[in-house]
Amino acid sequence: MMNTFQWWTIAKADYRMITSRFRQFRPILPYILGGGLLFWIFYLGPSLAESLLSEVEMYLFSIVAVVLVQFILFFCSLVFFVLPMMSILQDIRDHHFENLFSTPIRPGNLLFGEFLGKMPFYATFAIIVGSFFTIALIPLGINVTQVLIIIGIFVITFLTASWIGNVIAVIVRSFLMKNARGRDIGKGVAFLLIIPLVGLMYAAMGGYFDFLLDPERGKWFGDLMELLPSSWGAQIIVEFARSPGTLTGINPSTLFQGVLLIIFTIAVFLLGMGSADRLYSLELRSFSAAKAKPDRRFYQFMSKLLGNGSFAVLVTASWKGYVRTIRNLTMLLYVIALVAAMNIFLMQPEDTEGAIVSTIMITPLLAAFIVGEIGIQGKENLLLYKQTPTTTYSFVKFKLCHYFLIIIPLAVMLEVVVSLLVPNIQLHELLFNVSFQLIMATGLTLFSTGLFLRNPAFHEKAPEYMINMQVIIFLIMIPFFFGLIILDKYLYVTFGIVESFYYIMGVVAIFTMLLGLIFLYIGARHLDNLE
Amino acid sequence: MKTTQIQNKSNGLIQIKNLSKLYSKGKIRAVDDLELTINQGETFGLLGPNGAGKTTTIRLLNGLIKPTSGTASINGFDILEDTQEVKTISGLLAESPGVYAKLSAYEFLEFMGALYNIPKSNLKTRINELLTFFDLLDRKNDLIEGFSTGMRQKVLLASAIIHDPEVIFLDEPTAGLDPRAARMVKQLVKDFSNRGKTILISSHRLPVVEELCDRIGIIHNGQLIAMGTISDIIDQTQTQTLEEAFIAITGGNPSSSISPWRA
Repeated sequence: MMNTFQWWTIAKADYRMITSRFRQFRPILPYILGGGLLFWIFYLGPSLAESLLSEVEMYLFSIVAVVLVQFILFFCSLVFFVLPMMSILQDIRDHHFENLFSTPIRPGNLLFGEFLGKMPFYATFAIIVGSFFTIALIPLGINVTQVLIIIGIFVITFLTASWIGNVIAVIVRSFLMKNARGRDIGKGVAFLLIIPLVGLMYAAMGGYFDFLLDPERGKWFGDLMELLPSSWGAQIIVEFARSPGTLTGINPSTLFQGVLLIIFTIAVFLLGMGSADRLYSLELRSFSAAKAKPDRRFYQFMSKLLGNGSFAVLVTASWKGYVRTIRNLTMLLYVIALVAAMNIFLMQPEDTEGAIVSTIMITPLLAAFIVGEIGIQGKENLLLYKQTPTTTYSFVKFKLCHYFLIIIPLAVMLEVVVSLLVPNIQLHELLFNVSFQLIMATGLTLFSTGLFLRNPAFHEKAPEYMINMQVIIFLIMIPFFFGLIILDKYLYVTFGIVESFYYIMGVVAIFTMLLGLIFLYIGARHLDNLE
Repeated sequence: MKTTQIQNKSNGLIQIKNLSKLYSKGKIRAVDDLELTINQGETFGLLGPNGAGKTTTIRLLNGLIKPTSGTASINGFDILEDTQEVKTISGLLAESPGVYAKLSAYEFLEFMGALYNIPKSNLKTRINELLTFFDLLDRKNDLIEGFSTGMRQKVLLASAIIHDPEVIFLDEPTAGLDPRAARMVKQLVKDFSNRGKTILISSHRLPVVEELCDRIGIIHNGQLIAMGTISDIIDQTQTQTLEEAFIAITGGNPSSSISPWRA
């Protein structure tokens, strides 16, 4: 007899894996989560809104929520669409499929089960997003049933988006999972997926969607959104806001859209499960192994530049390993796209200071992304040099050289481009910005290398990797903003210096270099003792 | 049960007929016109250099991949027509399978048992039996991520036999195991053999094959180039040991036609 509830078995295993860190609380987790959400939706959220906002503000908030509901549903659906794709493509492995498919499991059950296992977490996220709307609309007088229907709309809309993203990711994975190259491409694609979301978010923050607040100007957008399933539940929310406390005031066409949303959800789930047989093929498709080309002029030049000795060989080899990994290249692309999106949508630099501010937020990310590779291929790989007469000092030196060769030109290039966007920028201002960026990029490379050696991350999903990333990004921000806010005031009050920006940047640069050197020393010592 | 069960079951529990698996429009012949019969209760060893087609053969027989031509039947079930039944009556220990590392050993076996549709009432007893046999009972609640290679292999082996299958496919079963654990696996194979189970072992380790297998087949470039008992093969090649016979048959040069693309 075939097991008809295989999807449940898979979902249970997936749920167990996700919650493996708090296994003791597993049985009560759904109750804690459910109870917490109900408490938030019906008591804590509305109480907080009431105590933090005035009546007028709450009313305005309600109006804005109603006007923006289509856009928010669309944007969040995109997030829910992309999240499972990123999660699946970032970590493509096919080995466990061999084990699973040696059992009589149906691919459709596996696809649905894996989704179902993660569903409580997606649904929680959807409920939290939806709750901001219900909190906004409660002052208008919507009742409990309306609150639950609104939450239901958010959950259905977002879960449908997640399911579509999930199925697409599984299709892409079926092509990529056969070899190491494909898995690397998957990681790269996962990284690129976030760029449109960031662009959209920056555009929203930059006021590009403010026209939606004007119903006349935003009409075309609303009409366009109507075509997308993400909007099919939005009209119900709008009508609830118009006639709070009653379910009878809903227009039949709106009701039809709601029904359409449910039919669409069921259809995409069935379609995905039905097509699953083709999504989990273990058949090999490619037999070509990636081949290295003979060193061309660039590597010959690099080698010559570094003295053609063993140091040159080490740096070149390290560089080759880096650039042949697609994930690394997409990370660089991501940084460039981030700078572009920031300058296009969010903050076009009006003066030289603006140019520095916009790039200073990116340089730590650049350093963290590039240096983060140092131990990512495992401890044995990191300590490989110890099997040879190469000293830790030489290892750190050639790694640093490799990172400098990527980070510094890129950081300088970004600074030049952003600075040139400043109207009427003077040559000395451009040179200052570039010099400052040069020092910052150098200091941050030293700091990141030191940190990743002191607290090595042997996998991109390792907690150390995320912690180091956060430290690099935020620790450097502290002196920068501290300087701008506190030191600026101090220089003005004590010395009467009004244009103190350059002094502050000097302090920040010195601080970063010092921190970089100290951490590099600590990291190198730790690596020396690492076994 | 489907009706496609092959009538002359007594000829062999595993019957492979002209089985081929071609890749790259036929340029790569991973399995080439394989013809083989393995009898009930027999332990058969599949030997061959890297990339010879051993793992592909096992994957074909378990229904993980589909043949380009030819077919095979396992206990009368056709691997193309009755894939689900084939999987139900067989267990596979893959060469480098992944495990759900965030599950405990018990949870993983419970999961695999549920996929084989073992009733819950029997499953608990069965898991505890296997954990005791593999000396893992005191670690049953530990997450697999903290296990050594040998312990993982034990869990995987337990998962492959959790449903007490008629046919067991073992792809490099002693890989990564210390001598003590390898001994345990060998004992398990012998026990299974004594209970009339049919076992197909693919391995590089000639002593393992020598010790366990009733008959062996040597596969090279996808073709079965020698088959018989170990003494038959040694006699045929006029050598002294299985190792010498293996080298003599396969030419001594490891095949490199397929292995490079292995991920």
